[in-house]
Amino acid sequence: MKILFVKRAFTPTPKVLVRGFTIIEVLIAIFILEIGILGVASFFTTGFKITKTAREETIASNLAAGLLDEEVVNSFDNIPVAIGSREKYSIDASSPFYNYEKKIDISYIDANLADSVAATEMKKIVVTIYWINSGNEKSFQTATVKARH
Amino acid sequence: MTIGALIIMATYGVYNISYKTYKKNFASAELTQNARIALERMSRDIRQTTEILTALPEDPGAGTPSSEIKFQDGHNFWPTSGQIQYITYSLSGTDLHRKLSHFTFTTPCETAPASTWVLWSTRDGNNNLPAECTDSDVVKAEKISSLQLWGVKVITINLNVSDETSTYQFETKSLGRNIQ
Repeated sequence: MKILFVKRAFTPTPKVLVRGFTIIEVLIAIFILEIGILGVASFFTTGFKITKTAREETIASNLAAGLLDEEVVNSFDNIPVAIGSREKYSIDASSPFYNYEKKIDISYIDANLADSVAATEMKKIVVTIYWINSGNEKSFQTATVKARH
Repeated sequence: MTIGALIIMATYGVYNISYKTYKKNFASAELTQNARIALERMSRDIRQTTEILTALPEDPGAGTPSSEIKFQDGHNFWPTSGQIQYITYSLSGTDLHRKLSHFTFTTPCETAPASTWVLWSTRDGNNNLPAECTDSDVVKAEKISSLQLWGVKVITINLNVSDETSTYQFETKSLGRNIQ
Protein backbone atom coordinates (compact mmCIF):
# COMPACT_ATOMS: atom_id res chain seq x y z
CA MET A 1 0.00 0.00 0.00
CA LYS A 2 1.35 3.29 -0.92
CA ILE A 3 1.05 6.07 1.49
CA LEU A 4 0.53 9.31 -0.06
CA PHE A 5 1.87 12.38 1.56
CA VAL A 6 0.19 15.46 0.64
CA LYS A 7 2.68 18.13 0.38
CA ARG A 8 1.38 21.27 1.87
CA ALA A 9 2.41 24.57 0.70
CA PHE A 10 4.91 26.24 3.13
CA THR A 11 3.43 29.35 4.57
CA PRO A 12 5.90 31.05 6.91
CA THR A 13 4.40 32.72 9.97
CA PRO A 14 4.88 36.44 9.75
CA LYS A 15 7.79 37.57 11.98
CA VAL A 16 7.05 40.33 14.47
CA LEU A 17 10.09 42.44 14.64
CA VAL A 18 10.76 43.37 18.33
CA ARG A 19 13.34 46.04 18.38
CA GLY A 20 15.67 46.06 21.47
CA PHE A 21 17.25 49.02 23.21
CA THR A 22 20.48 50.28 21.88
CA ILE A 23 23.39 50.64 24.27
CA ILE A 24 23.11 54.42 23.92
CA GLU A 25 19.48 54.33 25.08
CA VAL A 26 20.39 52.15 28.05
CA LEU A 27 23.25 54.45 29.02
CA ILE A 28 21.02 57.50 28.79
CA ALA A 29 18.39 55.76 30.97
CA ILE A 30 21.01 54.84 33.58
CA PHE A 31 22.39 58.38 33.49
CA ILE A 32 18.93 59.85 34.16
CA LEU A 33 18.36 57.34 36.96
CA GLU A 34 21.70 58.27 38.54
CA ILE A 35 20.77 61.93 38.46
CA GLY A 36 17.57 61.01 40.33
CA ILE A 37 19.45 58.95 42.91
CA LEU A 38 22.07 61.65 43.43
CA GLY A 39 19.26 64.18 43.81
CA VAL A 40 17.80 62.12 46.64
CA ALA A 41 21.28 61.69 48.14
CA SER A 42 21.70 65.47 48.26
CA PHE A 43 18.78 65.59 50.73
CA PHE A 44 20.95 63.74 53.24
CA THR A 45 23.76 66.25 53.18
CA THR A 46 21.14 69.00 53.53
CA GLY A 47 19.73 67.16 56.56
CA PHE A 48 23.19 66.96 58.13
CA LYS A 49 23.77 70.65 57.50
CA ILE A 50 20.44 71.61 59.09
CA THR A 51 21.18 69.53 62.21
CA LYS A 52 24.68 71.02 62.46
CA THR A 53 23.33 74.54 62.03
CA ALA A 54 20.71 73.95 64.74
CA ARG A 55 23.43 72.74 67.12
CA GLU A 56 25.67 75.72 66.37
CA GLU A 57 22.78 78.14 66.89
CA THR A 58 22.00 76.52 70.25
CA ILE A 59 25.66 76.90 71.24
CA ALA A 60 25.71 80.53 70.03
CA SER A 61 22.47 81.48 71.80
CA ASN A 62 23.73 80.03 75.09
CA LEU A 63 27.08 81.82 74.77
CA ALA A 64 25.25 85.09 73.99
CA ALA A 65 22.89 84.69 76.97
CA GLY A 66 25.91 84.09 79.21
CA LEU A 67 27.72 87.18 77.97
CA LEU A 68 24.59 89.24 78.51
CA ASP A 69 24.37 88.11 82.14
CA GLU A 70 28.07 88.89 82.57
CA GLU A 71 27.36 92.51 81.57
CA VAL A 72 24.13 92.85 83.53
CA VAL A 73 25.86 91.90 86.80
CA ASN A 74 27.79 95.19 86.63
CA SER A 75 26.31 98.34 88.08
CA PHE A 76 24.80 100.85 85.64
CA ASP A 77 27.79 103.19 85.79
CA ASN A 78 30.26 100.37 85.29
CA ILE A 79 28.79 99.37 81.94
CA PRO A 80 30.76 101.45 79.42
CA VAL A 81 28.84 102.84 76.46
CA ALA A 82 30.76 101.79 73.35
CA ILE A 83 30.59 99.95 70.06
CA GLY A 84 32.38 96.72 70.80
CA SER A 85 35.04 95.05 68.72
CA ARG A 86 34.87 91.51 67.44
CA GLU A 87 36.98 89.14 69.51
CA LYS A 88 37.42 85.42 69.84
CA TYR A 89 35.04 83.97 72.43
CA SER A 90 37.91 81.79 73.60
CA ILE A 91 41.56 82.37 72.78
CA ASP A 92 42.30 78.73 73.59
CA ALA A 93 42.64 76.96 70.23
CA SER A 94 41.61 73.66 71.81
CA SER A 95 38.32 75.11 73.09
CA PRO A 96 35.20 73.99 71.20
CA PHE A 97 34.18 77.67 71.20
CA TYR A 98 37.39 78.86 69.55
CA ASN A 99 35.61 79.39 66.21
CA TYR A 100 33.00 81.65 67.77
CA GLU A 101 33.49 85.41 67.93
CA LYS A 102 31.70 87.88 70.19
CA LYS A 103 30.81 91.53 69.95
CA ILE A 104 29.18 93.58 72.68
CA ASP A 105 27.62 96.95 71.84
CA ILE A 106 26.33 99.22 74.57
CA SER A 107 24.36 102.38 73.93
CA TYR A 108 22.05 104.79 75.72
CA ILE A 109 18.39 104.52 74.84
CA ASP A 110 15.47 106.87 75.42
CA ALA A 111 11.99 106.14 76.80
CA ASN A 112 10.93 104.84 73.36
CA LEU A 113 13.87 102.39 73.38
CA ALA A 114 15.48 104.31 70.49
CA ASP A 115 19.24 104.87 70.54
CA SER A 116 20.19 108.12 72.17
CA VAL A 117 23.39 110.10 71.78
CA ALA A 118 22.74 111.92 75.03
CA ALA A 119 23.19 110.11 78.31
CA THR A 120 19.93 108.66 79.64
CA GLU A 121 18.92 106.45 82.52
CA MET A 122 18.82 103.28 80.39
CA LYS A 123 21.47 101.36 78.51
CA LYS A 124 20.92 98.79 75.79
CA ILE A 125 23.33 95.85 75.75
CA VAL A 126 23.51 93.97 72.46
CA VAL A 127 25.54 90.77 72.24
CA THR A 128 26.32 89.26 68.85
CA ILE A 129 27.98 85.90 68.31
CA TYR A 130 29.53 85.11 64.92
CA TRP A 131 30.67 81.81 63.50
CA ILE A 132 31.41 80.19 60.17
CA ASN A 133 28.99 77.57 58.93
CA SER A 134 29.83 75.75 55.67
CA GLY A 135 31.91 78.70 54.47
CA ASN A 136 29.24 81.28 55.28
CA GLU A 137 29.26 83.59 58.26
CA LYS A 138 26.30 83.24 60.58
CA SER A 139 25.40 85.31 63.60
CA PHE A 140 23.09 85.28 66.59
CA GLN A 141 22.10 88.46 68.39
CA THR A 142 20.38 89.04 71.71
CA ALA A 143 19.84 92.19 73.75
CA THR A 144 18.64 93.50 77.09
CA VAL A 145 18.14 96.82 78.82
CA LYS A 146 19.77 97.91 82.06
CA ALA A 147 18.19 100.81 83.92
CA ARG A 148 19.67 102.95 86.65
CA HIS A 149 17.98 102.05 89.93
CA MET B 1 18.62 41.28 33.90
CA THR B 2 21.97 42.77 34.94
CA ILE B 3 20.64 46.25 34.58
CA GLY B 4 17.60 45.30 36.68
CA ALA B 5 19.86 43.93 39.42
CA LEU B 6 21.95 47.12 39.35
CA ILE B 7 18.86 49.26 39.69
CA ILE B 8 17.58 47.19 42.64
CA MET B 9 20.98 47.40 44.31
CA ALA B 10 21.16 51.14 43.78
CA THR B 11 17.66 51.61 45.18
CA TYR B 12 18.52 49.52 48.25
CA GLY B 13 21.72 51.52 48.67
CA VAL B 14 19.76 54.77 48.67
CA TYR B 15 17.28 53.37 51.17
CA ASN B 16 20.07 52.12 53.40
CA ILE B 17 21.92 55.42 53.38
CA SER B 18 18.72 57.38 54.01
CA TYR B 19 17.86 55.22 57.02
CA LYS B 20 21.35 55.57 58.48
CA THR B 21 21.31 59.31 57.86
CA TYR B 22 17.92 59.63 59.52
CA LYS B 23 19.17 57.77 62.59
CA LYS B 24 22.36 59.84 62.81
CA ASN B 25 20.49 63.12 62.39
CA PHE B 26 17.94 62.09 64.97
CA ALA B 27 20.65 61.13 67.48
CA SER B 28 22.50 64.40 66.89
CA ALA B 29 19.32 66.46 67.29
CA GLU B 30 18.51 64.57 70.49
CA LEU B 31 21.91 65.47 71.95
CA THR B 32 21.35 69.13 71.17
CA GLN B 33 17.87 69.02 72.68
CA ASN B 34 19.13 67.45 75.90
CA ALA B 35 21.88 70.05 76.24
CA ARG B 36 19.45 72.88 75.51
CA ILE B 37 16.95 71.67 78.12
CA ALA B 38 19.67 71.12 80.75
CA LEU B 39 21.11 74.62 80.28
CA GLU B 40 17.67 76.22 80.11
CA ARG B 41 16.38 74.59 83.31
CA MET B 42 19.56 75.15 85.31
CA SER B 43 20.04 78.77 84.29
CA ARG B 44 16.38 79.57 85.02
CA ASP B 45 16.63 78.16 88.53
CA ILE B 46 20.06 79.72 89.25
CA ARG B 47 18.83 83.12 88.02
CA GLN B 48 16.11 83.15 90.69
CA THR B 49 17.99 81.70 93.65
CA THR B 50 18.84 83.68 96.75
CA GLU B 51 21.65 81.50 98.02
CA ILE B 52 24.02 78.91 96.55
CA LEU B 53 25.10 76.27 99.07
CA THR B 54 27.71 74.51 96.93
CA ALA B 55 31.19 75.99 97.14
CA LEU B 56 32.17 76.84 93.55
CA PRO B 57 35.61 78.03 92.40
CA GLU B 58 35.73 81.48 90.85
CA ASP B 59 37.09 79.98 87.62
CA PRO B 60 38.61 76.64 86.55
CA GLY B 61 42.08 78.04 87.27
CA ALA B 62 41.15 78.76 90.88
CA GLY B 63 39.96 75.24 91.71
CA THR B 64 38.21 72.16 90.41
CA PRO B 65 34.78 73.02 89.01
CA SER B 66 31.89 71.33 90.80
CA SER B 67 29.90 68.59 89.11
CA GLU B 68 26.77 69.44 91.09
CA ILE B 69 25.09 72.48 92.56
CA LYS B 70 22.68 73.03 95.43
CA PHE B 71 20.85 76.30 96.00
CA GLN B 72 17.68 77.72 97.49
CA ASP B 73 14.61 77.60 95.26
CA GLY B 74 13.94 81.22 94.33
CA HIS B 75 10.71 80.52 92.46
CA ASN B 76 8.99 79.17 95.54
CA PHE B 77 10.35 81.96 97.61
CA TRP B 78 9.85 82.16 101.32
CA PRO B 79 8.11 83.97 102.98
CA THR B 80 5.71 84.49 100.03
CA SER B 81 4.67 80.85 99.92
CA GLY B 82 5.90 79.85 103.35
CA GLN B 83 8.02 77.13 101.80
CA ILE B 84 11.78 77.01 101.97
CA GLN B 85 13.04 74.44 99.51
CA TYR B 86 16.36 73.65 97.93
CA ILE B 87 17.23 72.48 94.43
CA THR B 88 20.12 70.16 93.66
CA TYR B 89 21.30 69.48 90.11
CA SER B 90 23.59 66.48 89.83
CA LEU B 91 24.54 63.71 87.45
CA SER B 92 23.66 60.07 88.02
CA GLY B 93 25.36 58.24 85.19
CA THR B 94 24.42 60.41 82.22
CA ASP B 95 21.06 61.55 83.66
CA LEU B 96 20.76 65.09 84.98
CA HIS B 97 18.68 64.98 88.16
CA ARG B 98 16.80 67.91 89.67
CA LYS B 99 16.15 67.16 93.31
CA LEU B 100 13.83 69.29 95.40
CA SER B 101 14.35 69.04 99.17
CA HIS B 102 13.58 70.74 102.47
CA PHE B 103 15.22 71.05 105.87
CA THR B 104 13.33 70.60 109.13
CA PHE B 105 13.75 69.76 112.80
CA THR B 106 10.37 67.98 112.85
CA THR B 107 10.33 64.20 112.75
CA PRO B 108 9.63 62.30 110.65
CA CYS B 109 11.35 64.63 108.25
CA GLU B 110 9.51 63.31 105.15
CA THR B 111 6.03 64.21 106.36
CA ALA B 112 6.89 67.39 108.22
CA PRO B 113 4.45 70.16 107.18
CA ALA B 114 5.81 72.97 105.03
CA SER B 115 5.28 75.41 107.89
CA THR B 116 8.09 73.64 109.78
CA TRP B 117 10.62 73.86 106.95
CA VAL B 118 13.60 76.05 107.80
CA LEU B 119 16.73 77.46 106.21
CA TRP B 120 19.53 74.91 105.94
CA SER B 121 21.74 76.91 108.29
CA THR B 122 19.18 77.18 111.11
CA ARG B 123 20.32 75.76 114.47
CA ASP B 124 18.08 74.32 117.15
CA GLY B 125 18.50 74.77 120.93
CA ASN B 126 21.25 72.14 120.95
CA ASN B 127 23.10 73.86 118.09
CA ASN B 128 22.16 71.06 115.66
CA LEU B 129 21.53 71.59 111.99
CA PRO B 130 18.15 70.46 110.56
CA ALA B 131 17.68 67.16 108.69
CA GLU B 132 17.25 67.20 104.90
CA CYS B 133 14.49 65.26 103.12
CA THR B 134 13.81 64.85 99.41
CA ASP B 135 10.45 66.08 98.11
CA SER B 136 10.99 65.08 94.48
CA ASP B 137 13.77 63.80 92.27
CA VAL B 138 13.21 64.08 88.53
CA VAL B 139 15.45 63.40 85.54
CA LYS B 140 15.49 66.59 83.46
CA ALA B 141 17.94 65.61 80.73
CA GLU B 142 19.79 62.56 79.47
CA LYS B 143 23.07 61.82 77.72
CA ILE B 144 24.95 64.43 79.80
CA SER B 145 28.43 62.97 80.04
CA SER B 146 29.96 65.75 82.13
CA LEU B 147 28.82 68.78 84.08
CA GLN B 148 31.06 71.55 85.36
CA LEU B 149 30.04 74.61 87.33
CA TRP B 150 32.07 77.56 88.53
CA GLY B 151 31.72 81.25 89.26
CA VAL B 152 30.55 83.66 91.91
CA LYS B 153 27.14 85.23 91.34
CA VAL B 154 27.54 84.69 87.57
CA ILE B 155 27.62 80.91 87.40
CA THR B 156 29.15 79.22 84.36
CA ILE B 157 27.45 75.99 83.36
CA ASN B 158 29.57 73.85 81.06
CA LEU B 159 28.38 70.44 79.93
CA ASN B 160 29.12 67.73 77.42
CA VAL B 161 26.46 65.63 75.74
CA SER B 162 27.55 62.31 74.25
CA ASP B 163 26.33 59.21 72.53
CA GLU B 164 28.22 56.28 71.02
CA THR B 165 29.63 58.34 68.16
CA SER B 166 29.59 62.03 69.06
CA THR B 167 30.34 64.45 71.89
CA TYR B 168 29.36 68.10 71.87
CA GLN B 169 30.16 70.80 74.42
CA PHE B 170 27.80 73.59 75.44
CA GLU B 171 28.27 76.50 77.83
CA THR B 172 26.31 79.37 79.26
CA LYS B 173 26.44 81.73 82.23
CA SER B 174 23.62 82.57 84.54
CA LEU B 175 23.44 85.58 86.85
CA GLY B 176 21.99 84.82 90.26
CA ARG B 177 20.31 88.19 90.42
CA ASN B 178 18.74 87.62 93.85
CA ILE B 179 21.98 86.50 95.52
CA GLN B 180 22.95 89.05 98.16
